[in-house]
Order: sequence, then C-alpha cells, then structure tokens
Amino acid sequence: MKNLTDMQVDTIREVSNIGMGNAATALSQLTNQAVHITVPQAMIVEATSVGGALGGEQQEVAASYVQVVGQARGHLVLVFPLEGAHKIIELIAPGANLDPQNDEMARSAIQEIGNILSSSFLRSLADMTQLNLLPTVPAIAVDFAGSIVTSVVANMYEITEHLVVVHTDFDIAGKRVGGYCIFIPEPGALRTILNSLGVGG
Amino acid sequence: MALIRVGMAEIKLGTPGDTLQALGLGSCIGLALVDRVSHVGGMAHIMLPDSTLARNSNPLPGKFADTAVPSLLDEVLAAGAVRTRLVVKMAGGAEMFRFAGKDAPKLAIGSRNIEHVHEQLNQNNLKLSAEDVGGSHGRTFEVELNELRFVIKVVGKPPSGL
Repeated sequence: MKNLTDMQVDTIREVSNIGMGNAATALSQLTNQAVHITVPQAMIVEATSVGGALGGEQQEVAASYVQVVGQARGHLVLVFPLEGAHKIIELIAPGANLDPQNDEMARSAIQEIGNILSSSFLRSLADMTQLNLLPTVPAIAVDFAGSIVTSVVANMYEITEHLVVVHTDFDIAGKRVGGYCIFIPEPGALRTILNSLGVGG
Repeated sequence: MALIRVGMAEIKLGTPGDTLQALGLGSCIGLALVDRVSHVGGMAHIMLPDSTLARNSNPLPGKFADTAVPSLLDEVLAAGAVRTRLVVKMAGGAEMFRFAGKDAPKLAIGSRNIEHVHEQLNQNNLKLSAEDVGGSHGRTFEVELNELRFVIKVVGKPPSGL
C-alpha cells in the first residue's frame, strides 16, 4: 500500500482485530447470547475498489454509518449483507418485519447494533491510542454496498487511499452472520493514529 | 463486445456492441453521451460537483462535474460521435443517509452534483434527454450501445428503462 510500511499495515490489522473482538463482546452482552467470531481479516483497500472487497458493488446490504469526531476524524461504516441483517433483526427484535428497507422496527434493530458495534470498536481504538475518539449517532441505509460506501467517500471530497476493511463472521447463538467494518480516516487522521501507536515516522 | 465498468471518477468510451456500466451509484452521477446513429458513446462516473474543492492538485477529470462534462464531450467527439446526434442521459445524485441532531453533517452532495451537471450540460449546449436522479436510494446505470438501451437497477425492483 502506497505510503505505508509493512509494520504500519500490520499494526492497523492488529488494532482492527482487537476492536472487532471487543465489538463481539458488546454484541454478546446486548443479545445475551454467546457470540463467537472468526479471526477478523483486515484489508487495506483503495476506495475505488471497495465494492469488490464487500462482495460486489451491487451486493444488497444494511449499513450503519457514524462519523468519528475527536482527535482523529474519520468515518465508520458497518455493513451486513441483507441475509445476515435479517438474522440480527430476528435476534434483537423478535417478531419484527424482516424488511429493514421499509420496516421501522427492523431499522431500529440495525441502528442499535450499529451503535453498539461502532462504539465498542472506537472505544477499543481510543484505549490503544490514548486519543479522544467519539462516534456520532448512527445513520442507516439499506441499499447497494457500492452506493453506500462511495457516498461516504465522496462526502470527504477526496478519494482517500487508505481505507481499512475488516471482515468477520459472527456466530451468534449458532447463527452465522458475516459483517464488514470499514474505517475511513480523514486525511491526516491515519498518521495521528499511527503516531499514537508508536509506528509513525 | 465488452462490458465496460466505469469506476468512480473515471470516463470510459465504448463502441457498438459494448455495454457501459456504473455500478452502485449513490451520491455520484453516471452521465452518458451516445451518438444515436453511430452508437459510439461514453460514460462519466462523477463524484463531486466542483473542482475548486480539489485538495489534490492533479485529480482525474472524471471526478468533478465541471471537468467531467467537457472531457467526456471531447472524448466522444474525438471517437467519432456527432454533437447534434448525442443522446444525453444521467442517473444518480441520491442522498444515502439522513442524519438527525445538531451535529448532523451537511450531506447535500447528491443534489449539488445534479445541479452542477445540469449547469455544465447547459454551458456545453447539451440537451438532457432523460434522467433518474435524487431520492435516497442507490442505482446501477447501464447503457447497451447497440440497442441504445439505458437501464436503471435499484434494490427491490425490476430493472427499468430510462
């Protein structure tokens, strides 16, 4: 990856993995179910090819989006392919209509999970970096993966080169749900984070 | 005969038999210019309204409405298209997220993209034939050059012609 050393890439991977582990713990507390995760796979991809990393631009997904404010600004998008989103809705809001595009309860369930996962992911990142990092209230979209992610990238006025995509399979009460966590740092923010982790330079 | 993907900030040309495709447009805009007689055409995948917003000093011309429209026009004309025979269609410009609360970021890029592309079409004397823009849903925009068929795909609905 342009401008990043192997050590920096490894550090980003490690930090993302720990963040995802903490998110899984939070999910377990929320659902009161055993939650296991597979080892998170962190990739650093270019914004223009992020669709491929999410299983295709036209993959239908439910996504939660928060802006990260504080000492290192960025954007955090959690993406669940629609099938996985249905399983989450069943767990959090049993009996709800499974259509998060139209059903308010289903949307709330996705928003709640987005809130819990992004907060715990960021808390973990904040602990490791000793930076003050806070999420805004999540916004929800149910649509093509490409449409959602490119809109977040466009909002930064920049095709950012460093976009961290972490893929994890969650196993919640025996149901397997694949999910993606995409962290898009604002220009300069990645450097701040890497410096705080002692791998700046 | 090729399926030509037009990625974010790209401009791509096609000849009869080709299909130009912009996958998963959100706030971005897919703009197609196609010669209705020779079926030579091109598509731009426009990301932002205005190149004065550029942080990078040397951005791709397809990235901004004000540079993408003239560049796309130049390229299709250079490829043999005739200006008076151009079919001009566009899709995209949605607002994918709505935010609540006082910290709500101003996410009006979709509508500003639409506005600026319209303005650029006017300035370049191009008449819009059809559009499917705005709203809060994503779109895939395809142009089958042979058939002069313009297709919009959205989640949860069958594909429709534009």
